Amino acid sequence: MKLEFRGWKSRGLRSPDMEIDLCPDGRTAPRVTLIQMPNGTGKTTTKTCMQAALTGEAMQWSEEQVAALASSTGGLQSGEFELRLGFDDRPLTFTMNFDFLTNTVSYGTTFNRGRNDKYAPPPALRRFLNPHFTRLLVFDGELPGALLDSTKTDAQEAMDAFFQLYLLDDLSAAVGDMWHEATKNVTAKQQKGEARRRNEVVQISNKLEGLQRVEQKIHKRLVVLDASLASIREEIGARLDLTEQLRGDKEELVGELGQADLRLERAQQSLLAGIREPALLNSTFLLELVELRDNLERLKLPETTSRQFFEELAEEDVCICDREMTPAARSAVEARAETFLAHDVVGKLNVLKHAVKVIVEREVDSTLEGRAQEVRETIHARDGLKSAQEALIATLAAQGDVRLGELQAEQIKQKKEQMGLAVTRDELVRKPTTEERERARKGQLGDHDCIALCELSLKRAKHNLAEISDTLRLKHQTETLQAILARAKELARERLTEHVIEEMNTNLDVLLAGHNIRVAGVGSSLLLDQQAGASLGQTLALGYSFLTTLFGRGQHEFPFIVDAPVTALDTRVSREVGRLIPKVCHQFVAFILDRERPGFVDSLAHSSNNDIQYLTAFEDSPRNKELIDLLPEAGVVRTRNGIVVAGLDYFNKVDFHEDNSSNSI
Amino acid sequence: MAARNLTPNLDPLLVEAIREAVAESGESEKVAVPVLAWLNELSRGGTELSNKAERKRHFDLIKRKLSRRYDGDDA
Repeated sequence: MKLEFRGWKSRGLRSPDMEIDLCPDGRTAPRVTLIQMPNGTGKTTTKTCMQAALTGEAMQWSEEQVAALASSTGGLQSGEFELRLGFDDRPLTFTMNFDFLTNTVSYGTTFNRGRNDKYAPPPALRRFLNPHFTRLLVFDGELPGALLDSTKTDAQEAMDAFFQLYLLDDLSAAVGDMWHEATKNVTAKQQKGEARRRNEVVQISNKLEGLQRVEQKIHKRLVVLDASLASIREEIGARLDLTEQLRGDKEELVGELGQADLRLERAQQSLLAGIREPALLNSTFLLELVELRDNLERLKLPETTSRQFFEELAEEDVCICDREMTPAARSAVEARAETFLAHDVVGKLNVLKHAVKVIVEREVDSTLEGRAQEVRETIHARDGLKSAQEALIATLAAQGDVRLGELQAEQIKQKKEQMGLAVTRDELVRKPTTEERERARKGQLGDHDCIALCELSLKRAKHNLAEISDTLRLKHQTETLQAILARAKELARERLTEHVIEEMNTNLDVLLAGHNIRVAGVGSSLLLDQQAGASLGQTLALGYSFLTTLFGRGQHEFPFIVDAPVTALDTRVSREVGRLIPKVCHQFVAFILDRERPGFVDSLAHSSNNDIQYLTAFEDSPRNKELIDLLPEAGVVRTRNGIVVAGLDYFNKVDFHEDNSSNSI
Repeated sequence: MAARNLTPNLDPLLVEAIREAVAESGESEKVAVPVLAWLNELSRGGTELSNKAERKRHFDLIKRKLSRRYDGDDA
């Protein structure tokens, strides 16, 4: 893959309007392009726009960031930056349109003659077009040197950027975010909380199993007791039958007992039926119902079903009151019908009114108290009969029937046990109240022996356990993935570093032949075998070589756009750097100051076999009068406020008169 | 016929490192597949980490391959 810068154009921005064509003859760009610009010509704006055009990052810029790029001469509401590239020898253009009214930036992309109104780089190029990586394409002249500066981390960052190892960190952070997002409402996230919840499930399960066992045991015992009591009753009956005199009494008692049981059942049902009608239970209910009825509309009929009735009545010869339907009566029926008709809901109200009327007519049910009394009396009578039966048995026992006495004692004992077990079982199998259900849901139940409540509590506890189990599982998976990503980054760095060093040293054998300079490793910076032997120029050359070796992996070719490549170097070192650069990259574009020319320009030209273009750019303003006066007749492109001059003569002639003493080495 | 490269946007050495890290972790080697697929998508710009639905989908695919057991888990 090969990426080439072919030019750019800016309008309405902080930098002067300018069009830089790196392929003036329409062919591929020369190996070296030098753009000589004085300070204050908008290099920072141009570099910022280049970065943003490559990455699409301007879509995320704040309004302040956009506004900062607006033309300082004012008045313009829009601006434009166009970056032209060659991607595998096919034209690719990114356009940024600045709207300084809304301080927003929109993109356009042109590739393979197709126009897209958004940032849409070719997929094969996209992986490289991120801020991490493009910082290695468009950079200050200090970067190559910083790659060998042990106090900086540029070399490692360059490696991470090229191989996209930062993606592993980004992915790890995203996974961490997801964990926090998923568990922000979870109360317990630690093993300790899980143990507590697990114990709660175990405890409730144990209690539930215990209660179920007790209930089963009671159930079995009650079955046995039922059978046993039936057997005792049968045997007592049989023994009573043995005595002629008592047999009649016993049969009479049994018959009466049966009748008493039937009466009791009927009395109980009657009482329950009364209780279901509260108006009969208490006069307050009745009074309230009467008041409700009186407040309802009177004498109304549902319109949809009753209108027809009045219409037909008016057509009858005789009214329903048996009087003749005279024209006057007919008119009256038709006219007054409206006053009797109402919304259909009145039908329901009429039903309600009728029901109240029926209840009122029945009066407060004095029989309810009577029914309760009947139940009490029936129970009393039945108990009396039972006492009589027991007395009968006692009489017989007193007459010497020991067995009967034993049976009676056993019967009393078993009945007592049966009653106790029934009470316990009732508690075990009862239905929880609504209030208890709510408390169970909240985990606020006190002590109880209710199986259904226990089941509710267990359900809640299991839900809580499942919640934390899911949470812990997610935590485990998140941490595992993060550990894998961290380890993968370590391994990838090791492998890639080994590879890059090996390739770089092979290149250096040619590039710096005879200098005996080799790279020993890449820590945070490049580490040399014989660091003392590397000159500043060699150091810069090594930096460029490192970047090109990196980019060369996978047969990729990238350009370098460098601002002030040798501004910090003296002429001798500049010459050395100029000699080396064309050997390590296929396209080198530099923004230089006039004071960087000595040594650097000549050696670049020589080393690139004169495959070099010279441009001079500056603002078209009175302060540059001297430069404007020297403009040649040909090769000048003027815009609203910018001038670009092509050619070596002018390039070598201009003097920006800037103080460079502080920057010189 | 050569196997199709499922991670064309990733450097082979990075792919190798991820597979090795997965193996070292004791997890199934299948974990590497969705991890690499996600990285490849990120690399080629096919997805963004800021897209919550997309990142959840990718993470869910990885979770399916990751062990579900954790310390103290009796599931």
